[in-house]
Amino acid sequence: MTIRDLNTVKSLKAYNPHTKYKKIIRDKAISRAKTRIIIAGRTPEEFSQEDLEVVVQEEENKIKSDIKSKGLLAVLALLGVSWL
Amino acid sequence: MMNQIFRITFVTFIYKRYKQTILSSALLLFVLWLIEKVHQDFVSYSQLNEDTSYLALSFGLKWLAFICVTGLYTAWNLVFKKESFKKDKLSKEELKKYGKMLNEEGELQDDLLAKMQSIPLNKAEDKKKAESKTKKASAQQSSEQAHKDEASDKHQPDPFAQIRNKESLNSKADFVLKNKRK
Repeated sequence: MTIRDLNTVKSLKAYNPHTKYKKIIRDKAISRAKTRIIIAGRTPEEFSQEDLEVVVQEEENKIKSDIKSKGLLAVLALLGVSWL
Repeated sequence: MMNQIFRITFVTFIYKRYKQTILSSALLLFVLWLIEKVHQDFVSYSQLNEDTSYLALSFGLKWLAFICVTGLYTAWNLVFKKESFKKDKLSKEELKKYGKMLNEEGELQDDLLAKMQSIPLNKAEDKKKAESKTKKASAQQSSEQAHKDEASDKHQPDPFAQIRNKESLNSKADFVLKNKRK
């Protein structure tokens, strides 16, 4: 496998659905983290990279769990559980 | 109680709407019945007298009367009814009563056109100008704001740039563990 082939594989990785899905979640988590920081009365520049990473990671986990619970609710709704 | 009120209202509405048709139909049936009765009487009279010379003519006359009455009924309901409801034949007072707009010469005008003409021109123009002014001002403001935001974003480095490109993020616990190992 040549270097040119490796570059092609790398460029194709951006079109991978899993990568795209992860990127969307990451962007959403970053925007939520920004909002959280602004609500706290501070700016992202005041934080270290580690702290920012922790905040974004927390938000990412929240988004993932939200998606899971909403997905479950959607499945239950499809099955006709009206009392939810 | 409510059902009866609905029924009465419905019957009244139907009667008022189709008054002419209902009355003329009843009259037609009555006249046809009368002609038939008269003819039956004539037939029985001719049988009693044993004179059947005009019997064939009586049948012809009966059917001719039937056709004439039915023709009159049709003409009355189809031709005269339509004529009486033509807008042109209504008087000016009647047209005004039905909410129709008349021009200076007393001719019937298109409703929408008349309404548009009744709105003063200056008022409409002023409204348009004010709307365009506010639209322009808001567009300018929003474009300036967007430019400012873009400029500020370009000048300031993104603190999340590294995090954006990371494969997986570490939690607080991960960092604590990493620091302990060191």
